[in-house]
Amino acid sequence: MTTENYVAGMRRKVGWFVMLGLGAIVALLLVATLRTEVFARKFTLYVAPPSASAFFVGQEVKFQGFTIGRVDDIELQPRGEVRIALRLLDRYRGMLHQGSAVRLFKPGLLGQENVEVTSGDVRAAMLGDGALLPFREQATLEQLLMDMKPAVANADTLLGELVSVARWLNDPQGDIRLATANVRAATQGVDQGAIQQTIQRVSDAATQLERLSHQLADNKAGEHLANSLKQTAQVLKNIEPLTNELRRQAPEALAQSRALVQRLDDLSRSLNGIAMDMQQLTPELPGLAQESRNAMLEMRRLAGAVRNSWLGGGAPEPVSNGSELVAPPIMDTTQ
Amino acid sequence: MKSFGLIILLLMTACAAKHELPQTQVTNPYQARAEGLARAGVHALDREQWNRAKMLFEKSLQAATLADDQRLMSLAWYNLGRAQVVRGDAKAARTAFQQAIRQADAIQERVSMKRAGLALALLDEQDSSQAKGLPSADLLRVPDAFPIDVHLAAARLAEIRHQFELAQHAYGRVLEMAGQDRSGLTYAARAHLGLVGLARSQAAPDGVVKDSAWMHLNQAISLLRRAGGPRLMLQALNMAAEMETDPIRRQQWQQRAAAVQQALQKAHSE
Repeated sequence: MTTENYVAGMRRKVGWFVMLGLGAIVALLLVATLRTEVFARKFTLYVAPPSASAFFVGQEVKFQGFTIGRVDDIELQPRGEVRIALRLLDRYRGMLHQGSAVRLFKPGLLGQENVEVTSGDVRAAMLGDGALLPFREQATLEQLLMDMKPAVANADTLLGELVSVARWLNDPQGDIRLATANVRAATQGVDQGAIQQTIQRVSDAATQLERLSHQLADNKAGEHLANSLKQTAQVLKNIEPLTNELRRQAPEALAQSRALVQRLDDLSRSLNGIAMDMQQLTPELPGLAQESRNAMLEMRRLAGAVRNSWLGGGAPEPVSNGSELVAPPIMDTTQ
Repeated sequence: MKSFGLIILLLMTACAAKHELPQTQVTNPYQARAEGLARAGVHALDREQWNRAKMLFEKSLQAATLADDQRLMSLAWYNLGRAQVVRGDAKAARTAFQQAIRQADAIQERVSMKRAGLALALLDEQDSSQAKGLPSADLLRVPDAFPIDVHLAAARLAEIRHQFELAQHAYGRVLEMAGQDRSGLTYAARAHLGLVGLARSQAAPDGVVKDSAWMHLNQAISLLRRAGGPRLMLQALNMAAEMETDPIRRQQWQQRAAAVQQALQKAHSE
């Protein structure tokens, strides 16, 4: 009797043990399936990008930063078009409206791209199952780098031109030096001390310009260079007795400096575009974008200082007509 | 002595309290961002990157909305409409221009209203399915102080609607306002091309093109060589080919136009 009771007790215990084990497994499976949304209701959307190279099956599909589904299938249509099926959780369908689009975005500079769905027009109807969404292309980092190439080439040319202008300013046989020498000879006895002092200041400024222009590639050189050029411009502007003589004798200076100012303007425009691109594409590198923007602002100030100087012909800074913010009007459909 | 020191101290404190702190210059980052994006969008439009321009203008609109700046919002809607026009989506462009007018109307911004109104009228003129609006003298009359692009749009619309005097005056105003920077040179080139069109439409009955048409065309080509603008250059070369009476020279113009067109197509396909 005692043995039978013992065996029955053991059976009960083993039975409980097995039932609890099975229950735990079922509970775990239930939790896992609920968390992975295996049995959740889903719907399918399609997108037809120009290339499937950035997509793969199982890739996360995000909406406002939340994962709402995955790439379910990628297939090449008979006419060579790519068709990608996105399997999305049905509970998010209410947030996706007509006008939604699919795009790729990179959460970081490195790593794979994610697929993102935009909400569309919230006043429009919800998206139906099997709807085909437009694919919105974004400027890529590669495109940005392609855009940067001419600007970098511009910067190189600009640097070279700055150096050549500075060398030319500093050339003992150059027009400016000869002109100042001529004026000195012509005005002997008038106010020799002041002219000597002025010429010395011109010479010092030119030397400083050459020295600093070599540092343009350095991060903080732009500000120094701008200040230096401003000083040079100020010095040159104040040389009233020399101005007319130099203007007559050094037309090359005017031509060179005007071309330089034009290049600075062009460069500042392209840097502006690049700064905006960088802010768009690499939000994790705000410093870089800020640096580009600062460089652009410095370049603008520099251009303004040179333009206002005697070197630039003394013309006042042209008043902006605001057209840089406005697209030019439609002249015909091709523009 | 102690009380005297105390009085001085009190006076100094009073003076310090009366002294206003200097006003700190604050820039709304969203406004700056909207303007920067608009500038970049115009740049992209200039480089014929239509989709990119549209994306940048959309983001500019978003930033202007976040800044709650209705003037910038109106500008962004106009720019967006302009990008839609070149992308060939006239319906979306029309909606954007109408939105720009509504937004400008809300703050009584006359420049933006006029700009978007002219853009809408020009779009209607191009779209044969749309009923043409009646010639509106009000729409075509632009105060001298308005920006250069508004004058150019008014000139073009007046030209299309055969109001040649108004068109002549508006193109003249564009030439007066155009600066010496690249944008100014391009505007001047557009005005010269418009004046070519005017001179041709007022040509003698025997079809002989006036000398003034050639003069404006040569000026436009010269400006475009300085500023760069392949699409406008193509338009100028095509005009020259149409105006030329000598068959050999006409062929030369046509060859030059074909070369520019091919280069443009190649640049787009790359």
